[in-house]
This record gives sequence, C-alpha cells and structure tokens, in this order.
Amino acid sequence: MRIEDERILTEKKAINSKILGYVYMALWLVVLHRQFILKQTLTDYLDLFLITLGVSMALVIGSVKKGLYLSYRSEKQQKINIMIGALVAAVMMFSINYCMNAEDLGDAILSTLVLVVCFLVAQFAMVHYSRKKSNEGFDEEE
Amino acid sequence: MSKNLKIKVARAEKDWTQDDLAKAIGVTRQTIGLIEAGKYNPTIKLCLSIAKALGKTLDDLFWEVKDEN
Repeated sequence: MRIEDERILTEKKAINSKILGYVYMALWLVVLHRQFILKQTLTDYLDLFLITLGVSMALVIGSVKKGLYLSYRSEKQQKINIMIGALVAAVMMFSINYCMNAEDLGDAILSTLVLVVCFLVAQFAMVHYSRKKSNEGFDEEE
Repeated sequence: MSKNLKIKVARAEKDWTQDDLAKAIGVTRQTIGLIEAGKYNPTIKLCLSIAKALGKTLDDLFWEVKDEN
C-alpha cells in the first residue's frame, strides 16, 4: 500500500495555515487602517475589502461545510457565542452610524436592528447546517 | 514521547535500513527517523503500514509497557 508522507503534508498544512492566519489578520488591519485612520471611503479600497470579505466568507463557508462551525460546542455555549457576536456587531454598527457618521438616531437604531436580525438569522442557520453536517456519515448512538 | 526502539529492532531483524522501510511504505527516511526518535507521532494509518511492512502487529511495535518498578 503506497501512502503519501503524512508528516510532510501535515507540516506543510500547518505552515500554510499559520501564514494564512497572519495574512488574514493583516488584511483586516489594513482595511481598518484605511477606513478609520486614513479616512478613505470604501470605493478607495474596494479591491482590498472584497479580498478580505472573500477570504472571511471562504473560511466561514469551509468551516460550515465541514460541520465545524461552532458544532463542537454545547448548545448553550453556541448561543452565548452568537449573542456576544451579535452584541459586538450591534455596538460597532451603532457607533459607526451614529457617532462617526452622525446619522439620525432613529435611522441608526433601525439599521442596527436590521443588522442584528440578519446576523442572528445567518448565525443560527449556519450553526444548524453545520451541526447537521457534523452528524453525517455515521450511525448516531441510541 | 519516548524513543521507539521496537521499530529499529524489527528493521534490524529484516536487515532493513530506515530508507528501505521508508521506500516500502512510501514515506521519507526522515519520517521513519523521527518516529524512531519519538519526535513524530504517526497516524494509525501510517502505524498500520509500518507494521504490515515489517510483518509485525501494532502491539509489537507501538504498545508501550510501563515499567512497574
């Protein structure tokens, strides 16, 4: 039986994964720097933003498809994680719209609420799908 | 992880070098060296390949008996 050298494959994957992690962090830092320090508009760094968004989505979709998206945590912990994520997203959205962009308070609250609802629906859908995927391919214990 | 002398002994019984074993199972010599040195923890798939190539069981090569003294 001929097999690939698992040690080399594993180590290469570990290196690639580490480098991807650094590049991913760097991409977000550059995007945030351009937005908040250099005060550029989204159109000024649209290419970079789309790459960052694409990488983020690829990471999340890959994780969901493999059944790894929060599925390894208890249901209670999943909900806590999702709620914390929603809260952070809401605070960020409200701060940007109301404090930085000086939007009308009503509009800022409305857009934050829309974001939170979309965020929660997307998160629970992904966790549901991921949990389903993680239980595929073997007989469940009775 | 401690050194795996059992693989070394099994190799010697067949008069195989690390390279011979590596070629028999399709890995690099370094991987065999690291397993024997206890610096790489192989998967069960690789353990089975090594055991089959050397004509031993998994227990013969990988079961560690703790010294009771």
